[in-house]
Amino acid sequence: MTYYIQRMLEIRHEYFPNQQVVEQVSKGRKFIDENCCEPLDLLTISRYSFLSKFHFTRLFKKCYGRTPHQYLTDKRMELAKQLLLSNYNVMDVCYLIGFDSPNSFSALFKKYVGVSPRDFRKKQFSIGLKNGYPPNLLFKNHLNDKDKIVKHPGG
Amino acid sequence: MIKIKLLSILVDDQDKALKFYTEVLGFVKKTEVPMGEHKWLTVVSREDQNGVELVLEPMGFAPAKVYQKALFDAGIPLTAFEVDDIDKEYQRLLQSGVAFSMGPTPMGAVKLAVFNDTCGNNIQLFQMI
Repeated sequence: MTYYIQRMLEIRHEYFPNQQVVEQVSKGRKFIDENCCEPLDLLTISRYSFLSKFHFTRLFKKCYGRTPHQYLTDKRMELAKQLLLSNYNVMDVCYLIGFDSPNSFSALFKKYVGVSPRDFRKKQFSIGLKNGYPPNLLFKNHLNDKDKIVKHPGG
Repeated sequence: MIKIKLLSILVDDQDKALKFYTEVLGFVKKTEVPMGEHKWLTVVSREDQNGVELVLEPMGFAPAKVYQKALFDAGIPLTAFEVDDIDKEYQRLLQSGVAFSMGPTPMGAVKLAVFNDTCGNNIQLFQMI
């Protein structure tokens, strides 16, 4: 057994819940993944794990290093970026990822990404234009010539 | 804006490393810039070719060998790559002749495995559970 395996097993024993509990918490995480665009509350998520909401929150943080709320927000922000890159407008993205208020969505997006959703979208468009591709194809690497555009459809 | 774009690993032979990281692991070569004895060589994930680039860094500084060997002998991974299904990936790599010092093992909310990259490093695979 290597030094690494030995230390890993010691740490696992000392700091992590047993595997059955991890599986329960993991069910809650997967529930968040599958329903991240729906209105979610802690009680619903924790029930899915068969744990009380306080116990679930404590164990979730222990397993994933973030609270369930932070995890959900991270998911939503990643999804928001993808939708903005796929040419959705800011208002649509806001409602699609489960936010009620465009203002709170924009403020949170700026806090996470560093720029407002509008500026993020604008910046990606300009990168796409510079490369001769529409923004929603920005990250595809095997483009055919027919996919190239001369200018942005809206511009 | 500041962002993480490169991750370096030291390799004892860049050509051998490129072969292993592309043909065995399945990454794709992104850049190769000749620089005399060595080259600037990076690979990327096939599904995320504009994501973080892995620099296959030549072992040009002798003390680095000591560091690399100490990590290797202790079984400590130099870095880690995420996979969707670690058991499947483990089987695939085993069949390609890759040597593992640790098979898929649960560790809290992840499952880990460690293999030898044949270039002087232990590399960890992880899957979030």
